[in-house]
Amino acid sequence: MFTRIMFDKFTAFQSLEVEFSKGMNVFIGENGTGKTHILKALYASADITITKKSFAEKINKVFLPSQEHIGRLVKRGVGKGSGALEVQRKVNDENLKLRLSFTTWDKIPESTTISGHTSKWFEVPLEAVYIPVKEMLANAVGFRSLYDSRKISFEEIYSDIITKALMPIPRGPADDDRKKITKILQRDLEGTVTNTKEEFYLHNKQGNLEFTLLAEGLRKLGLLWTLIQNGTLLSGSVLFWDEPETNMNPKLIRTVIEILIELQRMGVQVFIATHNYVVLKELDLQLQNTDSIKYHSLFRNPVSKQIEIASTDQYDKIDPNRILDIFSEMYDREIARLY
Amino acid sequence: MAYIEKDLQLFPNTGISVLRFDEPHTHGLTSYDMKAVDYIITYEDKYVFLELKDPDDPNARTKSREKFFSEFKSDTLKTSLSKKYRDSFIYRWAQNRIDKPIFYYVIVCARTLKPADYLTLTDKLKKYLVQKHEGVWVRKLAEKCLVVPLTTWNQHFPDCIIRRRSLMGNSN
Repeated sequence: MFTRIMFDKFTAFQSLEVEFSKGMNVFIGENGTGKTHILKALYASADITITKKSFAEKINKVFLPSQEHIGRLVKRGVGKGSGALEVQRKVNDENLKLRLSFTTWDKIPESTTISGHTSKWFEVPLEAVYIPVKEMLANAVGFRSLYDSRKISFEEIYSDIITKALMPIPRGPADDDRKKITKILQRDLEGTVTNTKEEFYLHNKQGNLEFTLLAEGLRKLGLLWTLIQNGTLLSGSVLFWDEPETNMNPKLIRTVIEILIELQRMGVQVFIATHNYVVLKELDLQLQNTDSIKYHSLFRNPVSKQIEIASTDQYDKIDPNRILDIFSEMYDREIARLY
Repeated sequence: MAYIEKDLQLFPNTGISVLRFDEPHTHGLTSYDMKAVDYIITYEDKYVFLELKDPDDPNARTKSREKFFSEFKSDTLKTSLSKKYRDSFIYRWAQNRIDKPIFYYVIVCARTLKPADYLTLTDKLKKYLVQKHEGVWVRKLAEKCLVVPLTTWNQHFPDCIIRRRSLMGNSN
């Protein structure tokens, strides 16, 4: 379980520290305030516990700076600079840290410094899934082999999600939690998801409908169904979902939030970044007192212009809340034209 | 007694106690910058603090556009509505009349507003009112806090409906 992340002159962040909920973590903030970067950094640190890749290498692949020069991830400034990123997680009551330090002169991951619990970090695998904004299952055929053999300009999160979705279903019956969640998804999908030779289909009474012909919002539900069915999302795993509202009708967002809350109850630590009022309000309406959540609002300090963060576990206390502010502005414009 | 708020009028059923709260003879402290909600309605199981905002009032447009906008814009609503509630709460506490849960209803009569507008106004008001303080307060400052259109108020409180006087032909 992730407990904390710290950035020091890393991409958009001059200095930032965030403490996480063991359950749901919801990031809001205007474009350019670093929501996606937080998700990607955490994901990279989890994924390496499975792949055993170096942290620096994974960060490089997930952020994909120009020419893969990792030094470009140092916050831009004058002259040589240095940056760092530290992730903390709790494993069996022990707090583990992993820190990546590098300078603007570092062109390759191998020249950076990785410190902290560099061995222990890998001892207990942390299964993680990153669902990117663009749905990828419809483009799965041949993507991974293309990605592996050619330098194409896609961050590794796009290849990874296809790999995770293609994992076969584990042996043995599904537990009740998984059955409950897949049932909710099947209700809205009106079917189940299958795949043949990397091509994904929605299987229902009419037969098999290829994902390329399916609405993107429904494909995302299909992806969730697949990840739960194949055991990728289980108690103890971590889900990162960047803008779950993209291509999603507000009616479906209710189902998405229902699923995310159930996953959290099942023991999945969830991180989402959102711009959407319906996502936030559905969380407020559906969460119970026993659920764990933290809302993290990222904003630019008006004086220093640096990104800061304010976290709260209460919906009413999200501050600043630019999503709500925009609705206030629209209300004001409506009132003005009433005159 | 007629409960008239410019172009709006309350019609409480017999037995429903309605107090016109922000009157000098009722409140008496509004000149001390102690704000007051428009009405307090007493039910057996609750008090309802009611505030009426009426951009649809035909007479509202006799003011300048700037005055109209400054009265009804969201920042004004946010500060004035939360202050009115809190000051009214303190006044009633001093009267030892916080013996039931309080429901705070703000009616904004603007026919072009949609449910999403009311929902976000409600969220904004709850935030600035500080309706509750989890883990610190043992009580809520307001049991319920809603910004609603007139139709919703009349659905929730059919024993105290509100009508627009200019549509009733009573515009005096």
